[in-house]
Amino acid sequence: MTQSTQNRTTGRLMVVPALMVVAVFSLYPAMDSFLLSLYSKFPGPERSFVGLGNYLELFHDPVAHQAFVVTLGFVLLSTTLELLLGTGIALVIHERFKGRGWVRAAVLIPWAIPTVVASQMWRFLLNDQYGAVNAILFGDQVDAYVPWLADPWMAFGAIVLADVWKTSSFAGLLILAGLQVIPDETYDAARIDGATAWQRFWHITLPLLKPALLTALLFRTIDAFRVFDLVFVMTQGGPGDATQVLQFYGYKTLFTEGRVGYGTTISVTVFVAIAILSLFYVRTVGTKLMQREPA
Amino acid sequence: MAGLALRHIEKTFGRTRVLHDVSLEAGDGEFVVLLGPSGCGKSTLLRIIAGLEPQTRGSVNIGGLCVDTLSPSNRDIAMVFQHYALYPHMTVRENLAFGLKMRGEPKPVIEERIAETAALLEIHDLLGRKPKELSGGQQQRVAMGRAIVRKPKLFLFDEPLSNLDARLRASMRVELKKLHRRLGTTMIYVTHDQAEAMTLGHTIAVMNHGRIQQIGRPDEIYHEPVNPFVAWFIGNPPMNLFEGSYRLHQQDLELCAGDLTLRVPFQAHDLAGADSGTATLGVRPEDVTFEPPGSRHVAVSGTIDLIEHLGGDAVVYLIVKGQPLVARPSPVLREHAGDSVTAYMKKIHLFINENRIPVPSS
Repeated sequence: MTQSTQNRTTGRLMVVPALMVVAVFSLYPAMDSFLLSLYSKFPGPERSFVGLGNYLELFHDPVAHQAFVVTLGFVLLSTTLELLLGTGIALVIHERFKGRGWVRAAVLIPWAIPTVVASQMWRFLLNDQYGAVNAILFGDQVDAYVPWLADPWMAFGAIVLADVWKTSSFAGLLILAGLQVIPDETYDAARIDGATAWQRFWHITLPLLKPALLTALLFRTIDAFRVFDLVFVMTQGGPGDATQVLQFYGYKTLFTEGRVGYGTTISVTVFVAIAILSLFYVRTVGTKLMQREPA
Repeated sequence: MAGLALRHIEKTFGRTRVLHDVSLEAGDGEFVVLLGPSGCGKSTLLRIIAGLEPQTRGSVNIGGLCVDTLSPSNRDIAMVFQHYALYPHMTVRENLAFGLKMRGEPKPVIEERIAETAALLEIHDLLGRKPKELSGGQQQRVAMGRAIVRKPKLFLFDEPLSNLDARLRASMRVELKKLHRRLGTTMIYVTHDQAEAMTLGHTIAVMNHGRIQQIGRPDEIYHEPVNPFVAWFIGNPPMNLFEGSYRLHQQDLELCAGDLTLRVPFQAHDLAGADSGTATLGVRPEDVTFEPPGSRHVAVSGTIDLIEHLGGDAVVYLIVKGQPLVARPSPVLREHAGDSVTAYMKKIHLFINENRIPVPSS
């Protein structure tokens, strides 16, 4: 055996434990879920093979269509707002000012709170009877209190708001990292070239921030696409189906209605959608990121 | 085109004062080099001229106009940065065009200026490339192009050659000199490299600890340094300096530095001050020979510690009564390391209280 083949064999042996963990905890459940999605199955031992029947049903399911639209709306709105707000946060905490360290830490607090806790907090805040939002807005005028989470649009707005509140700082952190690698000299050159503050932002900061913005976009879209806990705690998909995102619909079908096969089909669909999205990002944006040298 | 006048510039960062009462003038079309070790405040001074940093006190005049309240873009200057500061996401053409575009120049004018500059710097082939696709030398050219294309009144250079290798630096130095001759614009050039300063500058301002030590022509600075710092900082290898106590005699001045005693021919009336005290005596390595030169010289005997052969000549490291003495004799000597020799110092520089005292030389 030559030295290099021996090295290769040792190397392969070394990654076996890690591969086993991935196989047992990721690959097997994913494959099993995919198999399960090919069956009509309810709680209990029986199941019957339906092939792609569940997928066909999903394709024609109006509730699933609605859930897809809600999910897409949530992804678009929350990621857009998070990137905008994140950029704002990053620009502020990038500046030198007294107490910047404290501000940076404070900005990150929402992100550090577990989502379930944050969602519960927002549910309390928006409660129609004892919620702080109503108390602040209307004080003693109890008649004017708004049942925020009972209105379809406002409930949708509420989950977007909670998500934006919680994760903008994370986007901000990623964007801040991007800001920090832009050298001061570049801005000095632009000032001498006659660029105003706005022109410097538009022609220098923003283009040079693109890799960081794309990274933030990647993380945030994938995260938003598989949103579940926020909806589970705050609205349970309601009122009606107004905030029912795909993941929650899958959960409800599987655990509440007991349609194990169909519920799994929804999960697998979300999984595949995220996988395609990730692959697309990694292939297009990712390679561009890798090629890009630091400024 | 215009000159530059700095009057009593002071700068403090918090409690640290980095510039002390700096005054400097550059005539129209003059090439002035700010030379000093790192941290001496030369780059800060350049940034103050550019308007990138406000001065604490004093005023900046460009072309007879006080520019203290003007933003960098309104001072009609261009700056070449140490790390080039090219816009990495723009092509070379866009880099050159950016400043003109920001000033609202019409497109045909921009195109014409870019063509002119590209021809001048021979960067035509690079116009479509991004900075990361260029070598260090090419980036340097583009950075200069970006400065030239705007046709400013004043060019500022912040150690522009320090990131290039030695060979490229030497050739860029020559090109820069030619460029200055062609453009005839006033240039202020910051460097810590005395070879750059000596070859490029009409005038050199030597700085240390935030103060200008001496302003003069390169040969003045070299031959008549006003204080030990300038004497030591200019020249390679640096000037030999001996610090010790002196005593004036009838015909000479005696300096004791450790075990070494030097007697320099000197007329007492050349020195208005005290008959004794502390002084620094300096001699350039080029002025140390191993053959008696003329009538006026100081002879010392010592041993050769090390010889560095540099091809055409050699640097000889001597130990003279426990003190190091560096010589750069010409023609090349026949002695070897370990040999005992007599060395002759022909041109002596004398500094008392940090000031130059003229000594008659051979």
